[in-house]
Amino acid sequence: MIDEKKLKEELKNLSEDSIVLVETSAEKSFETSMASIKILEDKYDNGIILSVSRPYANLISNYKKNGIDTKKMFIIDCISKKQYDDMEIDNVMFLESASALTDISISLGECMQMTEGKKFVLIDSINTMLIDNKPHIFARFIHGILTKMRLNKVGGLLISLDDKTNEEVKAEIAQLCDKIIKI
Amino acid sequence: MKERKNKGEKKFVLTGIPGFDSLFDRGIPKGSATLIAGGAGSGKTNFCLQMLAYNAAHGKKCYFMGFEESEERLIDHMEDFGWDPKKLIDSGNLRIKRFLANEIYYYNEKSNNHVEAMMTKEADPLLMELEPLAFDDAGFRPDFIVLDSLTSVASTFKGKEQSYRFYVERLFRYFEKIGSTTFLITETNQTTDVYSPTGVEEFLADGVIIFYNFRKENNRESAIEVLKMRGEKHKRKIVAMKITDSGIKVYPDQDVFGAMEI
Repeated sequence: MIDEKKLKEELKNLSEDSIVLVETSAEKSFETSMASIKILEDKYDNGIILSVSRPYANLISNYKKNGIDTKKMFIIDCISKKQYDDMEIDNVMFLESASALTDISISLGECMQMTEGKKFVLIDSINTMLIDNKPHIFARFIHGILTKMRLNKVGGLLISLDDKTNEEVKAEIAQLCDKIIKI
Repeated sequence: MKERKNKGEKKFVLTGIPGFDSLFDRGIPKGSATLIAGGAGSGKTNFCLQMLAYNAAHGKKCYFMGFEESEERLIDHMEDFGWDPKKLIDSGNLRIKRFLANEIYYYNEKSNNHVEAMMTKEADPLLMELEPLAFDDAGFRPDFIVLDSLTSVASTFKGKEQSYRFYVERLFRYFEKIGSTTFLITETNQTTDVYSPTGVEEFLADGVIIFYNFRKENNRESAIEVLKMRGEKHKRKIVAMKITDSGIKVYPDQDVFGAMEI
């Protein structure tokens, strides 16, 4: 079980365009992601979820179980493109894989432009992205994404596993974030 | 809308390809000859067809001279992207014609003007010999010409490299003379420093635009670069490009992460 009260307290007082790095354990990672979205759902009009660890169908099912309004979430799924090839589904975009950084960056940028109202971006696993990408290239990618978020005044939450993240990448991300929360 | 002028009345043309024209201060100089270089499947032909479709739809005369794919296949590609080529052809603004690569060489042989013989002649008559290739009917004077590809033309000169160089020099001079804005496609390796069959073409051309298809893990990432454009300032950066259902889209501010792995 994660300390939801602590997470809520930490996220509650942040401005809407704040970018936060949440460090947690592998066991608590998914629960942290769900709890964060539930909290952010109340604070923002819409959310953009970059998922590299769970497929779209699984996320939607879990959002429903957790009482999250799925209509408010736009999912960029980097896992299950093959299963949904040529299918048109609302509120989801399928990309090849977590290694398609250029495509992910373009898609996130377009989603930020297209999504109306106050919005946040959640990247569900820094560590999973690092499996598919070299750390120095991933650091450039994150730098570019966070810059886009700043320019568009979009709030953000990045989830990473404590002690498992490449130190250089972690330092790069940490200096670009407004706050680091340990759960 | 498609032409911009600067203070000195120098004219520039736009391609209409989303994101691409903003790589330039003003556009591509009107009347220039540009190499479109890149590996197989990198989007060169689509780029040229999209640019012609845009300009033909805006009243310009556009001519695609192909040596590779048939007219039907090229029209099919354009229809797939929703560019309505038949309407543009019916309007008289778009012409797509396939040549056999040998025609360029044998054309001159038949008329007793093969390349070696041409080399001994005076300059102006030589330029005239090329004219029927571009203007096969009276009255059609293209504002834009695409030649797909210089690589195919070069293949007919195999073993006669000197003749090819001579021919290409004439070709560039000819395009300069007629004033059309010309795009010459060349096929290269996926990653290369030589962007044309002999390397001479990129010096003769006013512009060089390179198409990339980088491998990143199991994915391919498309990218584009304006390497050179005489008489115009341009971004000096490899930027992302996507081939979407409605055509090519360029992202002038997007880094290409696949390029960083090389």
